[in-house]
Amino acid sequence: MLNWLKMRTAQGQRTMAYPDRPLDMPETFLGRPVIDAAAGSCPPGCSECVDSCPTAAITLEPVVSLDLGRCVFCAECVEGCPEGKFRLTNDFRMAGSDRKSLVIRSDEAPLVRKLDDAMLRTFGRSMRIRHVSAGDCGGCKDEFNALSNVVFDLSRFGIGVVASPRHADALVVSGAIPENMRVALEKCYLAMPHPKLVIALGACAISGGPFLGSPYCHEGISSILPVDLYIPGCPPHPLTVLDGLLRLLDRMPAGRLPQPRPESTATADRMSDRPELEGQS
Amino acid sequence: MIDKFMTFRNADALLARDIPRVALAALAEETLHAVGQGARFVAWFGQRLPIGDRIRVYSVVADDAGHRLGVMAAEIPEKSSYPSLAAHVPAADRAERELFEQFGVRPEGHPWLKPVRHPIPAARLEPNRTLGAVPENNIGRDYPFWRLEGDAVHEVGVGPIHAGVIGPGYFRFSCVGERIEHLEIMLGFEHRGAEEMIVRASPARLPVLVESIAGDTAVGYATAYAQAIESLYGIAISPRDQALRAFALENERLAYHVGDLGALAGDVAYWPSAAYFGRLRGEFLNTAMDLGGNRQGRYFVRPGGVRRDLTEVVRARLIQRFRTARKEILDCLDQMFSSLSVLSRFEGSACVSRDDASAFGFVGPVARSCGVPIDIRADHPTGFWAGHTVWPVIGTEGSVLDRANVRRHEIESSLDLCIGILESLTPNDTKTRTKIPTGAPTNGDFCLSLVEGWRGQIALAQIYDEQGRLTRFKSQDPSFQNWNAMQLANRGNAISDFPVCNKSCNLAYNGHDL
Repeated sequence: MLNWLKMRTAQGQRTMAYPDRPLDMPETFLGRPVIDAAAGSCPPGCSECVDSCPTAAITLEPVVSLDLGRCVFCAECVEGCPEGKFRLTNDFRMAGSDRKSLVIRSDEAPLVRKLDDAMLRTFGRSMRIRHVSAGDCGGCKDEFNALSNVVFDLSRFGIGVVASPRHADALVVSGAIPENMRVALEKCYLAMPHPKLVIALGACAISGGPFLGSPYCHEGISSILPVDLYIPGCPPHPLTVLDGLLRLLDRMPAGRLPQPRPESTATADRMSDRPELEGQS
Repeated sequence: MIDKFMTFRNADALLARDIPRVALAALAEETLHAVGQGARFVAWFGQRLPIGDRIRVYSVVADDAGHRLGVMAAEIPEKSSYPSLAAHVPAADRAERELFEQFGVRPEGHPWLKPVRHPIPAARLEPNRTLGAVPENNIGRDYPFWRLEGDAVHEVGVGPIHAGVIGPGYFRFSCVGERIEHLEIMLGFEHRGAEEMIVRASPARLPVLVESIAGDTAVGYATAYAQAIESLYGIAISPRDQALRAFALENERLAYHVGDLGALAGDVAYWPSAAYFGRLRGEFLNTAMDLGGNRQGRYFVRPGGVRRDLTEVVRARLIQRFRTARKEILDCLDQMFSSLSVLSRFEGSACVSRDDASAFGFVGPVARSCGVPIDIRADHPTGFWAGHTVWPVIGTEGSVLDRANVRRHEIESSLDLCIGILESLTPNDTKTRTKIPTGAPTNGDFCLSLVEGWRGQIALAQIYDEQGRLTRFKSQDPSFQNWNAMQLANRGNAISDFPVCNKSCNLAYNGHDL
């Protein structure tokens, strides 16, 4: 007992001060990609970035864009592009409410819409999550588990993980959604009381990720259930998840919010609204 | 003992045409004979040949003490049958069932011929279908569970969704009172078609898929894949790259062993260890991030070397981190393993016998904890391990305590190994990542590569056709063998001790389900 008290004193307080105070993310973290519009224009016929990308996240037309929902943050495009158009920052904030908002063309973070007032009254200070691993390689589930440790300590925000879907407000799904898990997943969703949220965790659950095109998998959880929040990553850093959840619940201090997109409603199919980006491909 | 097989060393490039071919019954017979003489059953798998619906079946055995592996093959038409190996060599149980499921090759007299993964293609979904409706061909429909009869017997069914943040599987306990008489585990819920996807993948996607077979062992899988490719193309990698790979592999072992001891402590409500180990695990995940940018160690190990070098600034930071972590972890281990409330729950719980471990071909800490000294780093060393001695950590009784103890001592040795590697690197070492040439492999068209991941032996086989295209990728996670250990260990155990048994093994759903 005495030894434990000694160790307890030596260990001290380990829970991070973020988001109350800013955080110094190590420079080694491979986070939110940036497409440098100022870098040289693509050489004619060049598709090095597209060829180097393992998950077909990059498209060249009409402008070079990158889908965070498919991206696995491997930085192969950074090495592949001869013009140095791509860079991976150490910014972990990249969750988004709309699937289309995950497609980026410059230095922009997707937008998380906070829940409406009625939902915030219900979930704002207490939210219970049921996580389901559906074709998850283990990465997303382990990082999601890490959120409950003393460092990230999800419970300090009133957010906790529960065993029964009957007790859950939000369903967090990770993995490539194999047909073999589909019925169990649907039953889990049906067992949750209203109102309820669905959160797609990681590249596989958003788009299929590395398993995009598998004959045994559905293309992301959104092909089965309506999704309220997308959290990119392979796997998402625990802070990416925390940031997404707190923005959804309107709990993130203003100073910790990412820079909004140049135009917050921009979507892939509204290119004509963005003349400043035309002619740069 | 394996001389009739074509013998080779771990990750040697072979020519498939040189592998001796016999009739399928003779292949089974030779495998039985080798195992009878003390060889270890490693793998038994099929490959579809491009002509005439023919299947080639490979049998792989190991002479661990002699540091040699052996392979032999048979070529047969689809839907052939042969006398089952598993009836005599329980280690062949799942491999024979898998061969039957994938290619219809029937092992006559197999005592437990059940589905392994129930691969079911994902059909396009009707937009206005009823959520939760169970289709005719749903996984597990009519699964032939073994049943214990009697008035006193009750069954407990759990899954596929479990109570925690964990993979999916269906567990059925047959109990008399609190005592588990039998546990049957049905898997396959995570089947993503990984082997097929890998064969079809673009060069950019292939290594990412390999890392995604079991993403919690990304470094282990990437290393097994990389060393096979290097061998097939005849490429030697620099000692610095080898050392960084070995460091990453041991770091992954540390992250999961430390995390699992924390989870074990949590399961017996010993919160100080659960909290400390949960936090300390993060040190190793952050180390993986410092190496390659990703906390799960993905995208770091690639054929030809490692993708990023370690700067002197980061190396100094890691040495400091490991020295501090070493002290904290050893203190925490001492406390946990001297707590009577912990020991009383671990001691004698959920034992795996040494005989069962040998017969069923268990690997990794599960095998070592009951005295089977198998460790690929020592038995079939490649790369960094070829120049370093590893003494496998073994236990005696195969209980939860033994499995925890094996992890405890492996944590200690891996910490020392990691610190040793960090200290031995100098800024003058040259790190060169060799580019893999495009085109067909030059040194062979068949390679079997083994790596000791934190769960045990990862086995990857790659087979190429005459044009140099990858035509078969076989992946065998340590869990493929070890799930049978979970079924056996729980017999006679109290059902309330199931969680500690489960955590002490911590097997992979995804790695098994592919």
